[in-house]
Amino acid sequence: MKRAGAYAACFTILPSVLFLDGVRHFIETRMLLHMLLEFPLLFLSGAAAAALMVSYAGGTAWVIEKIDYRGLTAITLVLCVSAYWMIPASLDNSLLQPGVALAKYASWWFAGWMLALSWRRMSEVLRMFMLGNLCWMFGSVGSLFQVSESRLCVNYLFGDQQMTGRALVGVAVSLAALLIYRAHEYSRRTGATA
Amino acid sequence: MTDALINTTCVCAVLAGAFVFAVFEQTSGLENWTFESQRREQARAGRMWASPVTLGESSDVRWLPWSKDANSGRIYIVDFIYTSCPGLCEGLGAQFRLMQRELQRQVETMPVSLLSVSFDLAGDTPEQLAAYSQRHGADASVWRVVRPADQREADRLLRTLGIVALEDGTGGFVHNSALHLIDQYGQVRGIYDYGNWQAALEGAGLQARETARAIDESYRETRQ
Repeated sequence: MKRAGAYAACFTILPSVLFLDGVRHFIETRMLLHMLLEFPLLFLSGAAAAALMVSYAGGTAWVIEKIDYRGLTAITLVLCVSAYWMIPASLDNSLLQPGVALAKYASWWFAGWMLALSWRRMSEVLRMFMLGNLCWMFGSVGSLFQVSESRLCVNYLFGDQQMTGRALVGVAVSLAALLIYRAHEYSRRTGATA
Repeated sequence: MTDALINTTCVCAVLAGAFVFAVFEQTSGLENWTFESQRREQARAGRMWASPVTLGESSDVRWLPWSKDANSGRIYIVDFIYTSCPGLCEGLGAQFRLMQRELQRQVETMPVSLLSVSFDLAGDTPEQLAAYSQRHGADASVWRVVRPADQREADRLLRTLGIVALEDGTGGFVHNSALHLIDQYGQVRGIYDYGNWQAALEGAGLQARETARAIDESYRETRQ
């Protein structure tokens, strides 16, 4: 348990490496790392912070429960945040305007925080609904990045865009596999209890 | 429980509303999904201004093409280059030559100038710029190949125009290149693809006539 706490603390403070100009520059000048390392990192940090909060001040979570019936708010937030940061113009503007960058960091972190707080209250069907949505979103954006004949972001090279497209499709495929697995488990369990 | 459900419905509605609003804002009503199209839209709407910049073929030439209190009545067709660019950029130079010929051919000289501005200050020495302009047959009265006075001015100009130059890893650059129509005050009047150079010239001509008329009118007013 103690070790889990230490991991959670590490993940919580991990995104602070983005304060180092060199690290941030390295990550954000590469589309692949920007979308598939920075975003998940911020998301996980938020989630880890939520886990820490629950274990040390679990009582405060009831406030969230009041506005997050069975995790519906968390799911809405996660889907909105991830969809917004798939827009090429959002990516570019987050690199050119400090305000947009701040919104990006805050929104991904907050989405992770919210989802971790409501994960246990969520029904399995709702979780699968969320995974399914993310799956088609990443899949379609990924294929769009690949079929586009021009650069969609002024800040990224064409090759980088193609590679990110392939990686996003890869993520979508993994999510689909996870979804199938969970659906299979779910039907086995409900079948056993019925 | 139902209380929580009602609260949740309200919060989700607000979230979804905020999301739709943010997407509409970002894409100007689902029109512009990329930064490049946003930039062109901004120019079309007259909301883009090029920062004042001192340009020159060499370090002792300091020339301010546009500024808030200018009265040259000139329209500039500006593109951004680096002279060591192979292939593609050479082709673009050829398009500038076509525009130059078109401008030279005009009976009534229009106050339209062509400007190729280098953003690679380290690589593009005055000699390099001169070689480039010679290679493409640039006639200095119509087409000038110049560079900003220093890196700070260059960066500021690119930033105000929304141009991002990326190193391509092989010593060259990749950038969102296009023809920019900039008037004497630095207001960007349009952004055109290279292939659309005729439209850019037409736009510049229209703009020049409009400016001339405005100057004429203000001159008449001051005489009265």
